Amino acid sequence: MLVMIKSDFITMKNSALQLLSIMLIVAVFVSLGTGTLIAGVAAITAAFTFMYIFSIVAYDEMNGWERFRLTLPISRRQVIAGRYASILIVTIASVVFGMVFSLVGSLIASSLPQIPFVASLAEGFDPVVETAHVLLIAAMLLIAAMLSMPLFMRFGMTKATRIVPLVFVFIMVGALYLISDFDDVVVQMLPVLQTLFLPAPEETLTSLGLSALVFACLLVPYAISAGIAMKLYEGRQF
Amino acid sequence: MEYAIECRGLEKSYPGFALGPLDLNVERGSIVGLVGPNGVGKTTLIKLLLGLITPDAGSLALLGQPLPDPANMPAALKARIGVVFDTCAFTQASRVRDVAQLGRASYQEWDAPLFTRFLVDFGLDPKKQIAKLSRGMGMKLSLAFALAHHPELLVLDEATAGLDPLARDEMLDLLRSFMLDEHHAILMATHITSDLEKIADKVVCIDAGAMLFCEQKEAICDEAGIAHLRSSQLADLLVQHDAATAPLFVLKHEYGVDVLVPDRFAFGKAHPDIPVDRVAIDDYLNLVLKGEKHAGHDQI
Repeated sequence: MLVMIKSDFITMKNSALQLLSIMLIVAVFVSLGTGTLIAGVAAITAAFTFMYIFSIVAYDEMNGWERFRLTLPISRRQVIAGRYASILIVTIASVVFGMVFSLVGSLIASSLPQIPFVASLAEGFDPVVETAHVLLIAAMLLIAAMLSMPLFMRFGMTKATRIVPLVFVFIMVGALYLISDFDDVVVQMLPVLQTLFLPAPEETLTSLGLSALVFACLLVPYAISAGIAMKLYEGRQF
Repeated sequence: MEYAIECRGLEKSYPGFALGPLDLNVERGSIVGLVGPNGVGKTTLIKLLLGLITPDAGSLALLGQPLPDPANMPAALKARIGVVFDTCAFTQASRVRDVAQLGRASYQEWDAPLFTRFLVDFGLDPKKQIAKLSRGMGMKLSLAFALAHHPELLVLDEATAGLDPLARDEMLDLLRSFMLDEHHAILMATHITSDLEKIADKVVCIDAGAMLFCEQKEAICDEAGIAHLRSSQLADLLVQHDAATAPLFVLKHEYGVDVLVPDRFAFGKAHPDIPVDRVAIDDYLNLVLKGEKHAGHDQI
């Protein structure tokens, strides 16, 4: 598995710096444009992981790299385990980048009171709430990865990009159908969702704890997704 | 005798194409060339050997190790095999030095000084991006990667295609050096049969998914020959041909008839009036693939 993680990072290391620079510029403009740091943090966290997933899967198909990689001393299961691990590492790293961005951003903003539209970014900045939000964004990325990766690994990027949107639509429709069937449960959940997304000042730590719990709980279906991807990848013909 | 590659009754079918059942042995200490027209199953066979596709039937053993499930080949066995495909497979955004990192991460036996020496010998700049390498340079990098972990078996699929003659000769020299160890073996699929004339021990031809012939190179290049006949001489020759000996392959053209004979010296003695030349693998292939097969006078 370690070979695959290293392989993914060696493959991406030249692009990663480029991606991060682009994301940083985008995050600055998004934050200034929306007047809030969280939008920039979301841009860094979500877009970096998302672009990592798409780039690494796209590289697989170039010049038969994916086929050649299987001739290295690495099993098909290790390929999947390593790929899922590398995505998880990048997701966690992007959470850290996002937090660093928000902390540095708030420091810069608070040190520039003479520029009102920059200084306003620091108003109401709460690192605990920011971290909770970043963890929720990371949790959403894990959901996207766990749904799309089995298809990417089984069919390759070219074919899977035609199937993945269909799967997402089915899941969203299914989720809406379930919500409409269990609306009383949803109503009961509303205070929890409120704490999670829009916590009151005294609920910020609870919000962080809940976000971390959501992220941690998602690791179980993420691992199940890896198991499904392994099964699918075993039968793939190169 | 221990074989580097031993497959029995290997089969793989796709809609509209079937390979096998195929038996193939590659002895240690030998270079086997895999030839045949495009799309006849050479790459499919190589993919089967490397576990990239699963066989429908048959058995396979590599370096003496039976592989009941080739798609799940043990990593330790993979580490003893070097592979070069027809393109430089490393990711385009990577640099040459990243390939060295990949080798270090992948192989316990990775020989960093040897890889660096290859880079110097080949004039490959470690900072250069893979996307900016010429085809020849890319193939040299692939071969350097395949050799730098000291494999016992090399599997090459069109590795010399598109290279200029000098670059090809350099690669062939490397392969000769690799074969100085008598436990090593090479299976190379190629359309450049002149390369096989220089280094192969055996030539295997596949056509339409089946093995057409498997001959020692000497049997082709030293013993076989092409007899050049006038059309009027052909009937007599075929009548005299003994069914017990190897078949003749006959290719008619505008100015006469070419006949592939298994033993040009014996043929020369038996038919001193018919000129017979040494045969190149290309001509041999052409006659076997396109010629009419005549097993003997009882079938005429």
